[in-house]
Amino acid sequence: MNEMLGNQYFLSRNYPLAQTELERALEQNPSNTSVKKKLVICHIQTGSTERAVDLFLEIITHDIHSIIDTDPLFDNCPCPQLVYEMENSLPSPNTKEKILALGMLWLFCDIRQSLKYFTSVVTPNKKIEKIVTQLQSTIQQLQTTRSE
Amino acid sequence: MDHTFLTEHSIGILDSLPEGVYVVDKEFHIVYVNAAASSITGISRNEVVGKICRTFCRSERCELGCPITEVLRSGKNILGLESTLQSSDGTILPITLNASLLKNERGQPIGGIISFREKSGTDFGEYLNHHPHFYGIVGKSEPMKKIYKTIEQIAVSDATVLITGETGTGKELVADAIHKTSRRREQPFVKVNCAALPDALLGSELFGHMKGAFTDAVKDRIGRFEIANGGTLFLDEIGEMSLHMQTQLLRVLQEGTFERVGESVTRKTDVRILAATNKDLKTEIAKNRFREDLYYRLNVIPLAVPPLRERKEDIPLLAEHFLRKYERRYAKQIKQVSPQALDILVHYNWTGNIRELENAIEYAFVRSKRTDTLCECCLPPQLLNNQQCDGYKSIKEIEADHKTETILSLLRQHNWNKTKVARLLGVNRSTIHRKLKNIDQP
Repeated sequence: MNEMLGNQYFLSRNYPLAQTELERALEQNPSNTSVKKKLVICHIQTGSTERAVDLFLEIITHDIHSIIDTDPLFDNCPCPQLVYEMENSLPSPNTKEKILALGMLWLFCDIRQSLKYFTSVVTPNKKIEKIVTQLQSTIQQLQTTRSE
Repeated sequence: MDHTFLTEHSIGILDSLPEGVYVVDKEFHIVYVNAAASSITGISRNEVVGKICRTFCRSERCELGCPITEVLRSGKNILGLESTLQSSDGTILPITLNASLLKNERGQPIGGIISFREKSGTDFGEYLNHHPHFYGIVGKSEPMKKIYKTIEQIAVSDATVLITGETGTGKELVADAIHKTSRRREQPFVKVNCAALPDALLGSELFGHMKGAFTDAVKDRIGRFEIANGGTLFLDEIGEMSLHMQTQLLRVLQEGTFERVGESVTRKTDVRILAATNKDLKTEIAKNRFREDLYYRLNVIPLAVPPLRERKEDIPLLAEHFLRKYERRYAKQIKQVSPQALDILVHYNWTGNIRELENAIEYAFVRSKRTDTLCECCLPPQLLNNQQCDGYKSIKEIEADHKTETILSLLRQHNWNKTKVARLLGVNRSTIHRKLKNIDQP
């Protein structure tokens, strides 16, 4: 029941309830990328950025295209709206959490913007370094594919 | 068409049914719509398959609680639930529906199925007599029913709407319902509170700005008109907007064009404007604080949301609604509002309208130690010392007054033909006589 119920809560933008159900669904099927993608957004929205980063890293290590290829309309993805609100929220400091959140959310829309945010983290830890490396190599692959 | 769920054979069977049927996958994407469903709604299968279910359902249930979600929560199928769908021309159709889950061999849900049929001989007006909700708005009083019907009538229009009403009456919910029933429902619904920002920032908020346009403009920023392109822009508290900003807004309304602050490039936008205010804009015009030409541009469809004191018959419904809302928030249950507390709520003047009522219920809910009823002793002190009593009519009397008004109005319309009015109301002629006994006839 959990995944489908979580999907419905996610659609209605009830992130705390979606998070609870989708975490349960992930316990039952730890390789479910679709669930992980939604959980990244839920954890960003509920303020558990660390968990979001862990899941984000897992996804981009195994299948970065599952995020890059998101269709905002088909997937009813909230990221464009969330990015707009976060970037345009009137004077709010660019905390590390906010930069990481924007970096993760931008990958659903634009990989270069995502990289820009992750490289702007002043004191990157190992996870962030891994993310930056992964994004840089994917951009390179995309450029090669395009030139071919 | 996705055949994961359905075989050619079962599709043939479903297409021959007189009931409308649609199937969604576990991500709530529509995978199948049968012929009857297309015929009832006027929405073709190809338009909706692969899209999120809301593009087809367009139902108030999407706001109140999706039937498939209810099945997921309760584990029980839903049978004969009364609801609405919206047809391609914007008409709201009363329906009864059944909902159940599709499961895989391990018993895990992989989708849901809804079957429905139109309620024969019932139009939207009659439906409203029995259902006190409309796209998230709670209320069954006559003024609210008029608002619901207007929203239904303007569903296919892109006309500008001016929503007026005192603070706390639910103008934003009305705007939300207009967007959700409109053709732009799949596009963004962007809200801007015109009173929340000073003039310079409001310009940047609405139109965007270029880096360096002013001291704090450290990067380019797109405005709400661009974000809302293709959708709806809700300008709340429009009466607070400066004359300078009104001029710029008027230009967007007239020409559909604007420039970002600090940029000379003219941009086009396709946005439907909904505006709201608690001010009397005609008075503002007389005081030279609001542009008359902008007023007429905005006031194409006027919608006046009544204050709570003019729809007291909705107070028990609203109280119940907030009780359920705070049950979820505070994870505690209170079955009902006590009759004494309800009486106090009904007779209070509610200058802060529904927002004040909600605050009062939350206050009482938090204070209450009982689980059976919300007792009057938990209500905020200003309600218990209420000096603005309206003559102390019970809720039943208030409802009775309202019914008598309806009868009188119908009698006037039909030349005092009691038989005809009795037939229209679906009651015996003797009921009309009994009602008239206690009132002065003209």
